[in-house]
Amino acid sequence: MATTDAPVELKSPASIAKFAGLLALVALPLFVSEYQVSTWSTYLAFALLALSIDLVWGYTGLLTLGHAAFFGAGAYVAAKLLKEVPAVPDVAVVFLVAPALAALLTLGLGWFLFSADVKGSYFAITTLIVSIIFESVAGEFVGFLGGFNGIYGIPSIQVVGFELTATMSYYLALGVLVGSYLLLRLLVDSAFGRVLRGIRGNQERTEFFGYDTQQYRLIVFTLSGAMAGVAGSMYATMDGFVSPPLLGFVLSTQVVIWIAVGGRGTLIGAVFGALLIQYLNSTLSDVLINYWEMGLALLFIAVVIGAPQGIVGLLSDTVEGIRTNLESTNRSDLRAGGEADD
Amino acid sequence: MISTLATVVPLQLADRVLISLTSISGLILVASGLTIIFGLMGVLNLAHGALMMVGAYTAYAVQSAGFSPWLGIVIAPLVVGVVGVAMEVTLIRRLYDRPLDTLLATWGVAIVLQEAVTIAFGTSQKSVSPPLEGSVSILGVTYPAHWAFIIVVTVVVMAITIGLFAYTDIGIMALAVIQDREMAAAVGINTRVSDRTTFGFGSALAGLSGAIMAPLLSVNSTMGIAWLADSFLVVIVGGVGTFTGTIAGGILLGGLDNLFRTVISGYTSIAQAAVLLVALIIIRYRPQGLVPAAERGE
Repeated sequence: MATTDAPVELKSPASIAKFAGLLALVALPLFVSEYQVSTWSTYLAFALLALSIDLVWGYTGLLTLGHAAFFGAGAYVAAKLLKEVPAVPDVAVVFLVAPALAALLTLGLGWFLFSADVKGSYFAITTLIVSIIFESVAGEFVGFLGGFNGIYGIPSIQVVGFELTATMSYYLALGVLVGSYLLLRLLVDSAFGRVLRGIRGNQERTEFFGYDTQQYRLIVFTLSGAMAGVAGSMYATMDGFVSPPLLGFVLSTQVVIWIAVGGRGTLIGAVFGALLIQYLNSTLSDVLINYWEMGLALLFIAVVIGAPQGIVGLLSDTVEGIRTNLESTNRSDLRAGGEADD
Repeated sequence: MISTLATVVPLQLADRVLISLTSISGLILVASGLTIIFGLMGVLNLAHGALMMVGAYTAYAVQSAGFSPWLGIVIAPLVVGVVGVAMEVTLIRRLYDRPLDTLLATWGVAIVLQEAVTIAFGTSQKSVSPPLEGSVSILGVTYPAHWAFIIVVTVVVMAITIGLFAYTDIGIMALAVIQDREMAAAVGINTRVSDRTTFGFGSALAGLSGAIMAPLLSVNSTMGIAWLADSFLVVIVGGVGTFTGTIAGGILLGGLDNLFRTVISGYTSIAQAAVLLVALIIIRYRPQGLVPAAERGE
């Protein structure tokens, strides 16, 4: 794919599009209400979750249908600690405790599954079950976790006694998202990333080359879990409310749909799909109600069958097509000595 | 699973046994269609729960149009069978060699069916009345007739299905196609028709199970999700690709569900989570399931 293999060149259409998108996100708080800014902050948190799933699914070929469990675990631990244990600094809770807990969970589950080489559809189904277990257990702890009503009134992050405003939280989330994107970009373009793609393409062959794929899968799953944990804890501080569906597999599958439509295995597709579909969700679901969900599901089916590279992949293919077309015409122009206009 | 059962009837031993039998039967009945579609054909059909849900709504629609509940039980498998054939023709056929994409596309189908049902019937919960009212006396216990009927239907359906795949030409040809597509085609079997029929039959079973279980459940568009996970677990834990496996898986998971519910009474979700955890551990340590299928020539 052009976006992954080409060296970074600022003039390429892909990087111009990315830069424009980033500028739009930076400028967004200037044009919308404060309420919408906090809504967009939660979109950014979910985009980070999408990024973490794309690393595992898009690059390593492990379809996880249970990542909401780790997102939700991060959200719940942040909710409990921020509300009830003010002694711990908020920043430490959101960026240290939550990801550490989520990473521990993914490390444990990853070891449990990868050591028996659970992969493919069984990996999808077992992660899905984990998500269902988390959701039903959280719903049952009425006293400790608020049961089905969840926990509300979670304060936003305080830095040295100063509470972040909605706009500041937004820029914090944007910064974390962009930082995570750049980090993962480096990772997937490195030798490590090539091994991940090797596992996706053919795990056995990668093992024959001497790579300990179990270890690679474990590292990548744990890293992705930590990112999902940060996404969850940021979400809790920005939305102020957590409840069992945040852990459930319906959320996991929703995010998988965003990634598929945006373009799996491209990182930017996950972010693009997550932001686009969440935005359309909020604007169109009032007007079209169930027809919107249905249309989205139909689009998802079409993408899965006909265009696994998603919107981003289709766009970059089109741009690439036009480009090579132009280049070849230019070349034939030269060769034909300017007579190509006939 | 069937959470309403545990509370309605006073808990005597004979009652407990009968209730367990009904809930185990229900589980096996709902999973039977998936045994064919996932177990035999290897298609990861995440729309299975939604197909069951469509069966339940068909039963509701037939009843609310003023017809007998029996007609609903007859029509539901036909309607859902047609939906299944349509799925096979438009989607599944293109994805036989892409299992994870099948899983995703069928989840898309599940959402489409859910939304279609919501558009057609609204969001309110529906209740479906059973074809058999009243109660029967078994083991000295007065037991709701429909609950006993579920046990009987499950036994009959499993017997017919096993017989179909073991003794009839259609069933044997379907197995031949599943085991070795090229060889089956070479000996003159129309593999495409066979795939379509098998998938349609599995879907019809899902529809039947929905219509039969509907009176015990609150019928709504998302009712299939819990049954989807349960069905997959029954099929995998039992042993993918065998009907006896599904029966064993249903007995184990349904039995554990009833046991945990009794032991940790008051915490139904914890009991359910415990069953899922056991299933997870079985999948991890015994991926071939309780009753492994004989080696297949793949």
